[in-house]
Amino acid sequence: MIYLWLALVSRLVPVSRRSDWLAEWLAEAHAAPRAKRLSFVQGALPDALALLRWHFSYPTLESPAVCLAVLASLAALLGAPSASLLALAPALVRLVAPSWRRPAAAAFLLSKVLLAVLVAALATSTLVLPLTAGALAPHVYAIPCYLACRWAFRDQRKRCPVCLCRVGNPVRIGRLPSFFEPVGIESICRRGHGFLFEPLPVCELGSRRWTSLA
Amino acid sequence: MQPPSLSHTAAILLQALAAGHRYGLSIMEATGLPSGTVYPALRRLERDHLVSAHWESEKAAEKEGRPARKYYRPTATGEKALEAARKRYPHLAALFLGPKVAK
Repeated sequence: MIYLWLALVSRLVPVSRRSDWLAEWLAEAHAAPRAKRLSFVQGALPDALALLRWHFSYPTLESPAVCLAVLASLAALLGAPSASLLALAPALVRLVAPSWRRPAAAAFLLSKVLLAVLVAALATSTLVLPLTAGALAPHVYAIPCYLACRWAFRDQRKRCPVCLCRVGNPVRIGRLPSFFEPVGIESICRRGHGFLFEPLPVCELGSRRWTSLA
Repeated sequence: MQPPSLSHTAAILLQALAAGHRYGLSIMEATGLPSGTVYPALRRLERDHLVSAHWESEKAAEKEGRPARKYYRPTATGEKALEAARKRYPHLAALFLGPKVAK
């Protein structure tokens, strides 16, 4: 078990140091008291991660001039296809969230995304900062902010495009296995504006659609 | 040349090494620090040339019926840095008295 764990974690260690690293941990684990051995080898993971981080450091970005040059190159690279992306934007908007098309819905979504990201960033600072003794790398915020954005977009998809209230009273439509009819969940706007059909992930038939009753 | 400034953890580790605790597990027992702190800190000290590492001979380890260990010891730069740290942290010199001599 311990050998398996160490062998697994050693895959993170750069190849040039791997055998040396594994030999040291095995020797130390052998000497550790049996009762504490499991908690002892848990430290192998931060050790391996530290070595991995040093191996893949970004020396090219250390200098401010090089950092700016790299960013400028990236911007230039991304700038070229942006025109074609802009042409695709309306189709993308229709695909992702039909309710964006109304200005009120767009404003609501934008505000929600901003507030959700703010809450995620503040929560991350509050929860993680005390554990890291005041130093927090910017990339720590990436995952919470991504999850906040994801939540905001998913939430928008569950709302009535007319009144922006969340749809409710979900009813399952169709039966699995079904080859001829779509299977999914149908929810209705409680104010009577329409109903939303969302196919189940296992069903390839049908697509998400809003049926207006107005 | 000015000796490098040490963090508190690095200073404790160097002090433990200077007191004769020459391998990770022994340092952990002496300092009470967890393995996830001690080993990465040792790697950092080694990278910064404050400690040097060497493997003990297979024969010596076999005599004791265990795998060979990796031993660490402060380099000359490490000793200087430790001296500077002892001035900065006055209680450091009193830690880990009664050196445990590595075999």
